[in-house]
Amino acid sequence: MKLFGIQTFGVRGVADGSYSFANAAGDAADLVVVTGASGAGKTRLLELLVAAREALAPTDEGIDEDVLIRRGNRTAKAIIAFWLSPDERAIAGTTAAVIEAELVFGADEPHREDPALVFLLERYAHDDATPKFEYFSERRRLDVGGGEMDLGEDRQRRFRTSKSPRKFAFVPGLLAALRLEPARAARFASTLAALSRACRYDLTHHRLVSGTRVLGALDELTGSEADAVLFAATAALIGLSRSIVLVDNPTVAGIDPQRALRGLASLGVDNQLIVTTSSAALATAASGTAVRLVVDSTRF
Amino acid sequence: MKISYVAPRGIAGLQDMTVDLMSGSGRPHDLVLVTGPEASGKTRFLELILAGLEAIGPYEGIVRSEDWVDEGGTDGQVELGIWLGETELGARTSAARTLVTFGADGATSDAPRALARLVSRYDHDPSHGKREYFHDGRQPAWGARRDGLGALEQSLWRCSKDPQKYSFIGRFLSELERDPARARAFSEGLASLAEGVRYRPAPDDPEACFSSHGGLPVRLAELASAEADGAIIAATAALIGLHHSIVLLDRPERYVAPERVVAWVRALAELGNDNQWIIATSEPRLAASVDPAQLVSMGPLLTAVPEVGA
Repeated sequence: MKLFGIQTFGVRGVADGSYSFANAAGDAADLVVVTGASGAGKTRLLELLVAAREALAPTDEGIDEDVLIRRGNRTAKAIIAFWLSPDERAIAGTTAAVIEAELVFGADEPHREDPALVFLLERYAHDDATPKFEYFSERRRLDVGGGEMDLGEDRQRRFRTSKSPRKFAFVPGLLAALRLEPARAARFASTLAALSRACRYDLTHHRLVSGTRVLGALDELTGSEADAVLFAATAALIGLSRSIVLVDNPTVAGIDPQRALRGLASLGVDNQLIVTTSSAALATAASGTAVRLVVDSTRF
Repeated sequence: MKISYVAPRGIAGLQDMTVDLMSGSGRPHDLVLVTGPEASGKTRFLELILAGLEAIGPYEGIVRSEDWVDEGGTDGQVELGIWLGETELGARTSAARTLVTFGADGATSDAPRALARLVSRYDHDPSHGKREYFHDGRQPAWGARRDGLGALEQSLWRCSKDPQKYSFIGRFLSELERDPARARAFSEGLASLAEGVRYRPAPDDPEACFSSHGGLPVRLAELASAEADGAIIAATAALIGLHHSIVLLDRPERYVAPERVVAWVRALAELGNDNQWIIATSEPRLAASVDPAQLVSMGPLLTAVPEVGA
């Protein structure tokens, strides 16, 4: 599943218009880089995508309509288009490659949506076959205290678009479980190696190392290492493939731009990555097939 | 108060090194950049300075000594030079060197009592130097918690990386209109650190006081992250009276676009009087913008990727 584009009307912080995620060939792009100055509305655009997904198939995260609707307006509207793979079309019983849904926030009128799309968005399983919608907010941080988190699907599905500080509280539990799950452990190790300069997962002794130093606890990770661990752990836990993956500011914790793009591309198979950045280095590092969207919504 | 010298020996996560921060003028550099790639020990270096100062004269009183001892070693040491201005420690200007030892019995220092008292002094008097840490994970606090603004309570937060560190800002903004001097300091700091954002308190909601690019006033939570970063730093400086202080800041490029970092750090350096900024960064443009004597290198920086377009 991939996002094909979104049209917006009256959304706070997002200029009215059509934002296309399609590449020159007319296909949904595998990598979309959203750029713009500070305050230009990059995060707002991602949050709108998350709100649209929540409106179609709620996960408990909820939608704060008060911050979604532009000041002075009573409602906000978005028309969001999803592109479905042939497998997904077959599962949902539809022949359409692109499905649109019309969402109105702040009004009593119902959203106009295709049941096939809702069916696909409501599916959730921790395997690589099931498409998911994942949001790594700019506030992401590795939560190393406060008790362990249930790794099960029922619990974890609620966190997929969440900005909660507890979202990554599953990581200590996952690391403990990796000893018994060689495939997940290998996935975690290879993704971590792609994302982090020095941090590795030692598959023999089941421990994290940074350079030659063995890390006894997660709070010994540096900022960029902790960021790499939470990405790799998420991919290993939920089986992040064939999914829409939103990453707000991939370099916020210090992973260098080129490694961030390579590493995020290695999270899984056939994901669509939508990233925001104010770093020209990251925008430049993206390959020629990536779609670049420049937003400037400071006045909205 | 400034740091003039740092020499770690047997410290976990850091090479033994000798760093002299004195400039030609007989005073320590007011801007020092700790540079290196990811996970090269930049944050560790900043936090070693904090731990050393905490061992000399505590704010919070907690130094986990075992965190600083190299694997296989029995103790770790850091020799810190603390340079005192004319108004500090009587009329004398001096750079006292103090040895801090992290060992099995905790962290100890050989600082004379007068120096220890000065380093542990914390109040919001702008003429008193203190230490402040803008850590890498800094962001507006979650939830509705509102901490007190007094020096006793705030002293516990100065060197903290807790997600609730900036939960004072709601109350700070609510009370700001009654404190014209602080309001002016905050307004000026905000304008210099958050591009396009101005302090414009609304009469009905004093916390909705941020106007971005001339827009209607919004709350801190609604600002873009680079704007909020400037607001957090300006609020902290205005609240605690950040002058004559040692200020550690990790990764100015966290939210500010790399192209803007040099100008942003210049604005930081002008925030308050007579502060010493010790800043960890991986941004090559920033490193290239200062005198090499102001750099503490933890490893080679990646060269910037050439940019396309204007």
